[in-house]
Amino acid sequence: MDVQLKRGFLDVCVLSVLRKGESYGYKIIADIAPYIEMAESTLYPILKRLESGKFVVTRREHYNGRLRKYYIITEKGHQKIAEFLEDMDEFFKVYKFISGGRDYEG
Amino acid sequence: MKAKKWLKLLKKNIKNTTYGEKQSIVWYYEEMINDKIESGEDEEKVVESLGNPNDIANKISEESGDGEQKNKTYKKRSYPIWAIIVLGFFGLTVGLPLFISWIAVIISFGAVAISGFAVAIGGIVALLGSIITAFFPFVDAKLALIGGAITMIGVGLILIGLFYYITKGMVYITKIFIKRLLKKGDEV
Repeated sequence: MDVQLKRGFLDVCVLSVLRKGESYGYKIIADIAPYIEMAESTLYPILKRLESGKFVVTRREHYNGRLRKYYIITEKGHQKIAEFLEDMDEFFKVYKFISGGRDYEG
Repeated sequence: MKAKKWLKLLKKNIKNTTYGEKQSIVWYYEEMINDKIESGEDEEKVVESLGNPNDIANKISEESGDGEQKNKTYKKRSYPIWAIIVLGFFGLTVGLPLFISWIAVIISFGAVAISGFAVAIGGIVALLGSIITAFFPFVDAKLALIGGAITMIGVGLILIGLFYYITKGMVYITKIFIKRLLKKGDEV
């Protein structure tokens, strides 16, 4: 898949995981695994980007004698998912055209 | 490789980031490693699955050093506010009076030079006048004196013009000096 396309995909994939509730690094990768394979080194820049863009906020909580960082989706993050889905609808129309789908009307 | 060593290597090789950012990255991986070990994975296998810490550090360093203006801001060191206030205080109470005195000295020197110059010119003109009247008796002494005085006035006017431009030059240099100082202050 094209790198830029994949980047946008992955950002929204992570946001979609967080849509169900706050989460942390290890759990995000585990929850995403059935849909997309993501390495730990891939997730870090995504989370950094989402945080600096204010699509997520973070908090730290003590867990088993250490501090765990939780990521929480914001309203802006929800909007980003909605925008992505709209873009995908447009994209799918073009996809049908390119693939010569039966629904395409010349 | 043990997790501690892996994290140490990672931290050592990350470049082009602030201390805070580097710490953030190390915490992220430390947390990941701990979670994986807690879920039952073997420490050595966890660390191996993460990959080479040098490669990860290099990738991070590359992405950070991408020449974005934002990253350049990270490189600037910030000084504590109290240090800036103390420096500013000294600047005002010590530096400013010194600077003003310096300017005053320059101006006085300039003025002395001008007046000395004027005196010398006056002397030269008077001397010339005397020589002319001495060797050329047909030249009236009074006229020579008047001529000499007019010459001195002319020279004086020229000097005033010259002094004006010299002062302008000094002010311009001082402006540039101050601008440079402020620029360096901005970098702090």
